[in-house]
Amino acid sequence: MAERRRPRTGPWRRVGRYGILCVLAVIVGFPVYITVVNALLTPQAIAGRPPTLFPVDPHWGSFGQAFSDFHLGLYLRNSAIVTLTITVAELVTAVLAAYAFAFMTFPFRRTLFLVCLAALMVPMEATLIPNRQTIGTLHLFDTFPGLIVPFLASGVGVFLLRQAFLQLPRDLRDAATLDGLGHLRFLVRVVVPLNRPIIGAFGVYAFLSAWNQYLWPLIASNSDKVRTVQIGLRQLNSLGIDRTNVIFAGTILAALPIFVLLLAFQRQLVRGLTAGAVKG
Amino acid sequence: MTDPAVVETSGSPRRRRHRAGREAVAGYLFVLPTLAVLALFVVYPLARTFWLGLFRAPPFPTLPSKFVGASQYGSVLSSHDFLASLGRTVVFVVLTVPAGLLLGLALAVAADARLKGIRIFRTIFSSTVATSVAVASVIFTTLLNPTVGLFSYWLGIKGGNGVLMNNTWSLPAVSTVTVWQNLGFTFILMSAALQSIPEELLEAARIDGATAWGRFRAVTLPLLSPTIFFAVVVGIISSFQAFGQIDLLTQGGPAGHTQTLIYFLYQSFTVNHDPGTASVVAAALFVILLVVTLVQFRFVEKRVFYG
Amino acid sequence: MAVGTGEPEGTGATEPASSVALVGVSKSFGDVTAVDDLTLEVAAGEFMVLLGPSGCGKSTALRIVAGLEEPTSGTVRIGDRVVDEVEAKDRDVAMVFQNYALYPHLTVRRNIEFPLRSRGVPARDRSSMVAATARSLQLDDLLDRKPAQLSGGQRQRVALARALIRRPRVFLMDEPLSNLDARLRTEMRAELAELHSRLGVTVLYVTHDQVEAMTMGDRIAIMRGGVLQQVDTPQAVHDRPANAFVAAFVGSPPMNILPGRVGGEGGALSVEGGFIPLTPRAGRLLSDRGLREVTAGIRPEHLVVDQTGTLEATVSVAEFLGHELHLGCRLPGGRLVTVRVPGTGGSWRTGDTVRLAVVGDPHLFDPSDGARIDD
Repeated sequence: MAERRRPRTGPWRRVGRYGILCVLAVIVGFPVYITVVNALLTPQAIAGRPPTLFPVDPHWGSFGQAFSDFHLGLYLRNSAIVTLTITVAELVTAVLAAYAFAFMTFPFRRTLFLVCLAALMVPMEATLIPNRQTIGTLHLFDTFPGLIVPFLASGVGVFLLRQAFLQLPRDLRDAATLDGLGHLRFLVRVVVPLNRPIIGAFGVYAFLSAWNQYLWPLIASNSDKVRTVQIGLRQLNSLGIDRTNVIFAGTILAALPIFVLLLAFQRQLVRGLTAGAVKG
Repeated sequence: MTDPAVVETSGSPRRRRHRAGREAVAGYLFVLPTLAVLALFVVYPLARTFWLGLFRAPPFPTLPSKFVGASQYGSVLSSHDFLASLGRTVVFVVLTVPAGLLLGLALAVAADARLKGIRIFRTIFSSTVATSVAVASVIFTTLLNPTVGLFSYWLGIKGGNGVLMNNTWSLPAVSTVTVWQNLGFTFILMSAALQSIPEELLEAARIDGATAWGRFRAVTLPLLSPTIFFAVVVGIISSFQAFGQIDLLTQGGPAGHTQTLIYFLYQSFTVNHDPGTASVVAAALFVILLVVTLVQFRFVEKRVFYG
Repeated sequence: MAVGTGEPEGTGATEPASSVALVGVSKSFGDVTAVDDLTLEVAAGEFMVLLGPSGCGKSTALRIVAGLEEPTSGTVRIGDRVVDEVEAKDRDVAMVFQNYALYPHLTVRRNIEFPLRSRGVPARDRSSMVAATARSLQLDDLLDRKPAQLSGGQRQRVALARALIRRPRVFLMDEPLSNLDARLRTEMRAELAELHSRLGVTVLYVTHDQVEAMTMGDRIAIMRGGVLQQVDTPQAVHDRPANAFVAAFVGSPPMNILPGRVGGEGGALSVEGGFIPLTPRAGRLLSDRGLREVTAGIRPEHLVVDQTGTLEATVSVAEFLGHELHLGCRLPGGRLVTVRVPGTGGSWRTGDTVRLAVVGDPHLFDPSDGARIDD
């Protein structure tokens, strides 16, 4: 996040500001903190009163158990497969369509773009039932394709990228034409490299949305072989209260990949999440 | 839009039309994947949802469903279940959207300072973006567990049903988890908007002798208003769509006290095997969200159609 | 293919320059006619300037030659080849754009090299050609920078280099200097003119700046509303403008335009604030056409402040430029005329009443269509 220059404030105000920040940080961060602490405690210590708020005598075994007793590794793998496929596919389809809508001339271009815009307004819930039936008809229930195919394209991506592509100066397209670049080469060599930031932002956004999906995987799968980690957490949630440390450890492991990823792609994330709002 | 193939009057139209035709073919190839997916998984099913609402589910799953026309829309939309779910959804929106917005804004304002270590606070404040709804819900299920949950202990609950299975407190509890889980997103949104406010404006206000609160009210808030508006709309939509937290925290219970529209839809479809009723609810949900979205579009349409 | 492979001297003209001809070219966008039946021949090696106000169709004409725009009707020839069916990339033309159109993500080197790469020139030849071209435009030290790290003038040079390296038969330039500051523009003007004479290439140059047109063009083609007004040398365009529009557009400060009535014996024009005497030749031109009303054009340098002058005016503003003085004088009816006073002399003040004499015959235009009245 870009640091912005704010005027320096006096020392007492600064202490006050730190105080407020710390209180807020505790409120926001406590659930995560206590999750980590509890993952390292025994179930008895978690249930003990008064409660233990610090990881005295940490037990790391809970993490191993999350993998062995509960198919966390499998769920994570499934999520990775589904999410990566969706992200890559969504990027490719959106880049292609956005380019066509921005730079190519063909009959019904405007109408087709409006279809994409309209699709952007249809919530997934409104299509849930027929889509479940479609997946059934195509014999894709409880398969990876069944989890993936409905999300291979998105109106959001087309819209977002088209807006960005339109910012490209027309002269650049003309220069490329004179240099003999066809549409595909212009797209790959000029448009995509120049729009890497917004494409990256959309990629992070698409990844996050796909990773966090809950309702569709719940409805479109029913076996561990394709179940994603979000649905896996549903299984984890029903572990008894004598395994609370494993529940907490499993949650951490389920969230960790995203946490690491977001730390790495913070800028893209901010841009992706705010693309619709701040600048439009 | 000028269509070059039509305007051509001389030269060698055949050849030119050929060239335009080739571009059109390429254009269609580029948009085909997107449009095919959208057609199959958005446009067609949307229409079919409305269609399915015209059929009543059979008493036994093996029997064919019966065409009952619009009557099912009438019966479902006026049913107690539907209206109660709609009411709960509205309450849920009221419990989540304003609180989430205010907290997110407060975090953003607090973190909009030039202080050492501010990055750490920003990271903490945005951290819930990394926790999915499922992750947050599982954490809170355990923390709110009446027997072993830390929060239950602090709330003075010993045994019994706990807040999640309490008729009065289950919906506020689900709302609290939702607010917490969304804080990261709201914080990031508001921070970005705050940072896009030109420093000169705040300095001008400072020179004019405005207090910190005065500057906030006179400069910051008005300039944030588009973002706040956006956050409200997004918040309303996402609260209408909130499913995972309900499924994980309460399963719509106790006794339906957290059954929102989406959960009603889900239960009708999966538990009651009644796609007819579920489709009517889905159609209603679509119309409600469409209205919300269109309200938003009215404000941003210039940006949407510009260029 | 324009690119020679052996010759490393990037700026040596190895390809013969080509003539360019537009024949009856029109272009409409929907209801708007951007170019209307334009016929224009550019000789091989000529520096032709397309001049006109914005929206006059000059850029569209250029883009039609480039192959970026297809004409609604008409034909374009480059050399003796009709290129209507030829793709832009195969027309053997290079273009320099107003915004330079450099690829922001590529270094200067890669930018200059780009046209060669996309034409499949081998790497070894590419690097020597880039080096030679860069040297001739003093870009050697900038090859590894990105366009964002360059000044406007440097970017312009890179854009030129990218055009030069292809050794095209025709150079098309679309307002290439308009994004530069005034001083740099003057420098680049000279540099471009020098480059043209050194390489002997054909240049079709679009601008709205009449100073650029006058200083650089072998000939100037003036357009207005998609219609060609006049094609001629700068001198001829200046001295014998084909119509009132050209007269007002070319020259700085602009020509003074005054509506006048032909007096009793045709010996003078009565205008606001007095009269303009005419020579017998001019009087005859008017009486031959039977015109009573006429538009008179007088260049600022053909007005002199003189006690015996035939026009009366009030000094409204005096702009001192160092080597000369521009006097803005208001005629009794409120019309402003500009007088160019050479040297540093004069001490007029705002409000002074002066008499102005007209040197020679004014330019005469038919008020109905603006056309020049001449023999």
